[in-house]
Amino acid sequence: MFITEIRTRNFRNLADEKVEFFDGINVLTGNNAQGKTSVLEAISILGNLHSFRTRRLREVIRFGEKNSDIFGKFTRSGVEDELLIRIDGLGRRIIRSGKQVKDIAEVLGCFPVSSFSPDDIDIIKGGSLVRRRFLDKGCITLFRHFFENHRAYYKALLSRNRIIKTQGVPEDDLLKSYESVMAVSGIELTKMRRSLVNILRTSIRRKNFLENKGAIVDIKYKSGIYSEKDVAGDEDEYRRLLFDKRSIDFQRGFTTIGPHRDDFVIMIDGHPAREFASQGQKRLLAISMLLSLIEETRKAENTPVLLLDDVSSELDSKNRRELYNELSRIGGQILLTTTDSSLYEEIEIPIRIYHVETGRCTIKMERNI
Amino acid sequence: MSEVMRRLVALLRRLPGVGEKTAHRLSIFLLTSPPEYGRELARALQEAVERVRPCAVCGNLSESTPCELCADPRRDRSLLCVVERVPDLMAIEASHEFGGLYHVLHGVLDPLKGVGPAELNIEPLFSRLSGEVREVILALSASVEGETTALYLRQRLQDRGVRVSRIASGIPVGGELEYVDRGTIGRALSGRREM
Repeated sequence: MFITEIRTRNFRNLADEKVEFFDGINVLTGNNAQGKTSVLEAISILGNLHSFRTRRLREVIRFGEKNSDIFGKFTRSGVEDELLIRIDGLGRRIIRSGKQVKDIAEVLGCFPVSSFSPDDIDIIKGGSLVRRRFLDKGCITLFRHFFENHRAYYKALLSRNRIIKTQGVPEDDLLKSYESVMAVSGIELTKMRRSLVNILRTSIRRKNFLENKGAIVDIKYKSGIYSEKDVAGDEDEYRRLLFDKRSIDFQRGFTTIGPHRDDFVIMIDGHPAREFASQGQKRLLAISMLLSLIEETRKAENTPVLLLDDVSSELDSKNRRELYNELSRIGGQILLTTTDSSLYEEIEIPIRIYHVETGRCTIKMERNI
Repeated sequence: MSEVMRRLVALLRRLPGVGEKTAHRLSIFLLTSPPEYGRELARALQEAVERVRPCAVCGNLSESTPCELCADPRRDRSLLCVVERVPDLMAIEASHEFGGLYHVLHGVLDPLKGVGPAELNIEPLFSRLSGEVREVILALSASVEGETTALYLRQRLQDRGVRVSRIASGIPVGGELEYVDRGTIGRALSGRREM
């Protein structure tokens, strides 16, 4: 799938004009605060119905105006689709090909858009929650029963925690019933997350565009159920573990084992990247993870449009070149922002470069190979 | 708006499915209809509220305890069907497929909303088992809450010498497979029967 054009109205500092994109690498270049990221933001709102920049959608409405529109045209296997999102002080309305959409489930996932911004380096540097969310994003598209199991597990987990916290001596039968649900759904979650980590491990090892070509990257899944063992486990064993942990859990006031504590470690040459990788390596690793996830999940889904906000800023020219080659190899539609487009101009890949100034996008150069 | 009307609107708004606008519309309707209708409604409401109570045996709503169902000598006393709410009981009754007795829990376990076993009509269920009951059928919803409630009841029923079963879930009768959601199809397949 790719986006052919967008048109915004009263959207941040963007001009109320049509911008057309091509089905390849679109580079938005220009000085700071000219509107490069706002173009990506508008597209991410079309695809995900929320912004990667702010939680409050109304912040995108240009100062002094009441509402704002984002209109986009998409093409999938030759079929066109249109989406209009109107944002006002109260919320948003979604209109698909002229018809108002009542249930957002109807459009969610129809226009897949993945974004990557400098903050996403948290997948290496940040806490385990960021990494679980990253895995879950992939699991939802790869595994059919992931969502149901995820919902059941977390509901049962929160219920068990509440019982532990509020009751002095919780009833054995009551705890057991929540532990049963946790065991069944928790084992499923573990299996799915583990197999995604294994898929990503193989995929990331094929990406040899990391600094020092020799660097060996590995990813290790760390189950929240078993701290040491690397086994899939079974329900009964997990149930027994939950039972054994009860007295510790009562003391601490929460459930100490389970997929809610899952994590994975990214290793570079046998050492955790979090401590041993340089800033540039971390950024490359983070983007490699995202690219691997996109490559692996698009087999199951239609290819997402990839939005890359200022990802090359910390890379040296050699690594930039490697990254651009990798991007063109991956294919699909990519929109990226940069303050310096000189490398793109010399590298031999199909590309369209835009110059963004005071909210206006104009085509600076185009190359088809 | 007068004080009396405001009070009426505020009370109507507390009904399920009634918001500000509907509450206004209902009160205007009541006040512009012949006054006899409003009086009749008030009388019926008062009478119902005073006379209808949950049955002390099964929890069903009735004017008598035991209720008509519990007192009916033609019902099969060896079968006990556990439901969440009175409307579930009514739905099963309307199907004419079940001739046993009922037990209404008045909810499902949900610790996050402060509902534990003590908040539900669960203990009286066990005191009913000493008699002729041979099988307890759990007719609870297929949600996480319904599921855990069923597991909990099974846990506590298993040592009492009764058979515990759970109603099947699957393709609706007269429904087309094509429009059934994935979860239901999965359950229908795993719960298939030989024929």
